[in-house]
Amino acid sequence: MQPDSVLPTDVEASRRRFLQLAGATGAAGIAGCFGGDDDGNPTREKITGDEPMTDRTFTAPTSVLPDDMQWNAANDSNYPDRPGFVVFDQLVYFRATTGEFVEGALADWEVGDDTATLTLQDGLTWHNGDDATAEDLVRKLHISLYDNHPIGNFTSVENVTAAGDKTVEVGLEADVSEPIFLNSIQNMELDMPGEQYDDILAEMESDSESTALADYAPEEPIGTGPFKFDQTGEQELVTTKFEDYHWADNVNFAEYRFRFIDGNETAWQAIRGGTVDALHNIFTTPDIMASFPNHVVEMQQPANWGLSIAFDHEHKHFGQREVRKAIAHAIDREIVAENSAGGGDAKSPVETPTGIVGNFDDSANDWLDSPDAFEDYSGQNTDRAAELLESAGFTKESGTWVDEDGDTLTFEFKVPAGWNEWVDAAITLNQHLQDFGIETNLITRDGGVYFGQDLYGDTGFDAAGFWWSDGWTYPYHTLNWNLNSWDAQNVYNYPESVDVPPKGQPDAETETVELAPEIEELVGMDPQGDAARQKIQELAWVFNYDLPQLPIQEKVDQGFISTKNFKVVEDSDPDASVKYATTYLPRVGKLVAKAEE
Amino acid sequence: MQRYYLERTLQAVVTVASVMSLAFFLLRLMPGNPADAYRAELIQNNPQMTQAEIDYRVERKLNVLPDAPLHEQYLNYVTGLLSGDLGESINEGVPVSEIIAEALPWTIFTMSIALLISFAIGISLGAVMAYKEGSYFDSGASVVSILFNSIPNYIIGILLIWFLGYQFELFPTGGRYSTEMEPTVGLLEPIQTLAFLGDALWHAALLILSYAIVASGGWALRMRGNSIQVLGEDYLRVARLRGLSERRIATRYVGRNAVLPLYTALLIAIGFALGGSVILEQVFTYPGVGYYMIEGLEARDYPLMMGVFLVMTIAVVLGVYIADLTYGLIDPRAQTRGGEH
Amino acid sequence: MSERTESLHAIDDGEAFEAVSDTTMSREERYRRLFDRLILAPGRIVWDDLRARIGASIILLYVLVGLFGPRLYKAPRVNQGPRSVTPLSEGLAYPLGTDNLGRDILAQLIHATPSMLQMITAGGLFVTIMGVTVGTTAGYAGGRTDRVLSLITDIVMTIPGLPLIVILAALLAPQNPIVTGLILTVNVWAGLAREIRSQVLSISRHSYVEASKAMGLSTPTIIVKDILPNIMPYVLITFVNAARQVIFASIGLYFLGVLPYDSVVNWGVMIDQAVSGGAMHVVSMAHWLIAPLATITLLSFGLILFSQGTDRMFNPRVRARHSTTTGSDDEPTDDDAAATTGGVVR
Repeated sequence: MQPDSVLPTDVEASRRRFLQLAGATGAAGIAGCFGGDDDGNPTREKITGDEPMTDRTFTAPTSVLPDDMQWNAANDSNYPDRPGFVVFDQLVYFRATTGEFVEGALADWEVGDDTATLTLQDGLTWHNGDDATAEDLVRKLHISLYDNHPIGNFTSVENVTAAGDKTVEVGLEADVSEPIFLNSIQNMELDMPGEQYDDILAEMESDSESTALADYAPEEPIGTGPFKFDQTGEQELVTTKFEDYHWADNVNFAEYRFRFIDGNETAWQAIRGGTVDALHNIFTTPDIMASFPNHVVEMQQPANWGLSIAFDHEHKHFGQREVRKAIAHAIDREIVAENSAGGGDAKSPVETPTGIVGNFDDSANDWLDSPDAFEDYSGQNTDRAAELLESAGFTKESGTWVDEDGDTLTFEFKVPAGWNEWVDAAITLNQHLQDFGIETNLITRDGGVYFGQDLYGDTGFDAAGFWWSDGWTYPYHTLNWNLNSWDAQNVYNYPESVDVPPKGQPDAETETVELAPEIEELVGMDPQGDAARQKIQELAWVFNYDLPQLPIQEKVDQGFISTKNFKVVEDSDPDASVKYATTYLPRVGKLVAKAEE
Repeated sequence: MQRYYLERTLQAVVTVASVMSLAFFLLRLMPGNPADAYRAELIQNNPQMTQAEIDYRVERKLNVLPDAPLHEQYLNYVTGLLSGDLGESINEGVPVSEIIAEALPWTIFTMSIALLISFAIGISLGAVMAYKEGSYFDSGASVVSILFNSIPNYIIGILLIWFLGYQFELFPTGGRYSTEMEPTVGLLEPIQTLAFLGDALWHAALLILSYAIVASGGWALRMRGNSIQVLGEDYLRVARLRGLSERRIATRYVGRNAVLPLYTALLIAIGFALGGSVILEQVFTYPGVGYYMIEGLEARDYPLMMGVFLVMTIAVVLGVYIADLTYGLIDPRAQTRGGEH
Repeated sequence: MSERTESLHAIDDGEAFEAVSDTTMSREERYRRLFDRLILAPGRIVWDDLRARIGASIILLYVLVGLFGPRLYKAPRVNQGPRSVTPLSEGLAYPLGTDNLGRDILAQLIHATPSMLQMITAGGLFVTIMGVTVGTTAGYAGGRTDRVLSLITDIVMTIPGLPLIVILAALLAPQNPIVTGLILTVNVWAGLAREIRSQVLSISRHSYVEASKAMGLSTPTIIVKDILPNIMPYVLITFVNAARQVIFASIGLYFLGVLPYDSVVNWGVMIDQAVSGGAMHVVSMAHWLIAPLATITLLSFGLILFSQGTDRMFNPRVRARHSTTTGSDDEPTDDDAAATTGGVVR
């Protein structure tokens, strides 16, 4: 899961030319969306930087009933995470398009060999007036460590100390690179003020089994974010601008409200009707986008993530490589992606299955010296698929494929019922397979059962919808995820070594490749160097030849913002790629209110 | 007679007890446990969350779950019930009784109004249809009644939301009352109370309407059938011969006798209406008990589901109980079932 | 000799008292009479009543579509046509348009009919058989059996129906339409059983039943001859109720996401997909929602209409008027004395 050896800095440095393409997809996406506006971008007002303070209210959805909300993030019942993003500051923020970490509650950080030094912002103030000091950060880290947070992998309570009014030193017990360290604290917010959490910390210090943290459910938060809690009503949570926020000058509207919205339907209706000004992240087809008013703009962000078909490698038939490759040939990924996106561009089919992300801007193939040497399994190549099956001993009897022992090639394909895009994709690819003669049976499963029992539990599956990336762009991560991770070995039972022919020579003699050591080697290499590049290509070849999973498509996240009363930057701006544009951009003045008339 | 009351009461208690026990074990037989449901929710709402973070949070949730053997949990639950403790909701982290106490009045509010309206409209319409049997009015009204009775009420709900809620913006499309409104129900503050009630009604209007449109048709048809039957009875001939006005005959004889059999049906319909709120409240995002039932189902929140189930069962049992006992009072012709020979 | 003197003679001789009426019917006559009673007479009544006629036609239409439709019309396939085509915009290629995956909507409706009919029939039969069996046994047997059965019936009747169904569906995740039909009607039989029991109780006190008992007719015969015809109205109403519940509950459960589905869509799944696919937002996609909605409405409409119209079939006096071989000269009372048990619940 988490790579635990050193990775040099700037691993996620931009080799992605998304910026270039974002201009194209962003604009094309927007232009296409707005019904009658066929002649290019609608006029989107630029942010000048000196918009005056206004009394406006920005409203966005929340999925927690306002009256039920409680503000302890460590207590998962009714914690409103989207509102949490504006009430609390994260320690750092991550720009997905460029791969950089930028300031949040932390103004600066340094990750050395033995220590990581974290420096808080000057002028960081709690909503109750107290200054935020290193003590607060230490408290947060201590509580998290007591609560078994993953940073416990490389530090412990004794090693986290305040070293000044605004500085905290974290003693490192293992080799950790800066990106890894930052990634592990990425979701941490500065949300544990003394007033509310000192007692809890004391209890956790004295009794390690204490459940004080999980039980604590404060009805009002004390945060350091740009907006502070005002009140909750039946349908809305009201937060008002915090004047002492350290970047208060960037925020020019008085209220940020969160309206309770349950379900996609309600969300779309709400933005059409103007009940909300934005939607954080919601998959929407072009048909529905066409029904939005013209002033609603789409903010697309790369997710580096997508649907794949996971095969149970211990299944009698899926354990055979020919079967997997035949399936790959029989499915037309382009059509599947198109259907999944409802005809829109929110999904991009995987061009060449190599386990490398980057199918929206074709940057995936940049890692390959000779992309054509790889098999692209394109289109619906039933002839080739038939060839492969026959070579594995299958015969086609009255329209269905049967193996040497007389067993029909048949399996159940599972998807979670609530994930409409996946269901649409699954229906499509099942059709392709049935046309080819493989008896598939699509089964939609309840979400909890699907994740808890089919994937990560004992029930298992024959073939199921899964994901072929964990969100990072550097190929090490996805290749590890697919070939060597705990998930690969336990969810779909991937073996520890495979026999494949050497790279570029599909007809040569096969050699055994031990996956773990190969991945291990890659970790230590300089990502910019040639050795890493070669290693990546070798592993990509293994992926391409053996198909541990079949990656189908990559998605973008879609957010929507109404520009009737507000102005927002283009989604090509790197700051717009921080989770979520709707909650981050106000902080940095890139989502501002228009002047009132 | 005493014996009969005792028997019926005992039966009611036994009914509730068996239903609850059945529900207890049924719920836990469902595939997937709260941790699974939680994992699913995390992955769906936070696709970028790392596997480590997800596992960490699921672990944390698991620690809160009871893991005693099933029969032990059952006994604990029953003893808790007897002392009025419905347990704590896994998902919401607050006592179930709190959630239900807050949500139940709203469901009762909407469903009782809906029932009364549909009953009143249905009865009146049915009576008129019966009197004008065979006329165009009768045929037309019959067709309309059947038509509306043929559409699921939540579908009508969706259509109403679409037209009256979003297109014409006449009604709010969710929630029980406006955010700015303070819930006040007090005789000392008549104006605020009225304002609040008005607001609540405005929010509940579409929900009530969906139910009423569909149900009125059903009541109308039944009333029509009963009335037609009564209209053919001999005692009406006698009444006419006696010189009673048509009006009097219509209300005192026909009306009463036709409505009587529906009395039981109405009381039983209360229970069904509560059960039916499960889907309607989802459509209208109206946090009543039906809404929480589904929330509980998705999260496999057993205590919450049990609590809601209990409330609904008690409502139905009460309805049937009252119907049985009071029917004898209302209809002098009826023999109580206890009079067995 | 005139008849009169003949009969007088018979009395004189005492023959009259020893004569046994000549009631042996030929086999053929008996069957003909049965046929007339069970099928022709009811059939005529049904045909006579406009409501029943229309209702029956509608139901018949669906049954025909269910039996022959899939063979006559193409199967729905992903991408068989362009996405979200509006009805008739491409001529007769897609008469009702296509959905978001390019599948022909009319094809989906037709090919889903057999499984829907299976679901409805399974549910209806289950309810009828359970209800009749339990009801008649309880009413007829009395005593301990009655008490136990009545208790069970009452318990089943008071379990909140929809929540129970929701839980069962989540529990069993049925895919087979027959199993689904059973689950969706699991609590409906109780109401029927209760009604039948009380009917049986009141009927069995009638003298003709006692007479049958005295004559030594076996219990099943008594049940079939005397009791069943009187409870038929309830049975029919309940069957229609059960069918309606199957349709509505199945859609509701797909809505809630509790029932699983596979690529073979049925009407409820279509509605759910249409709503969550935004068919209400965009007028051009409205047909996706309206088509299955109209389909279920029409079927429910037909069922209810049919049950409304067949009330009169079970009034023996009305039947008598329509049959040719019963030979009864009873004057039928007013037509209005139809044995109505009212309309449909809820």
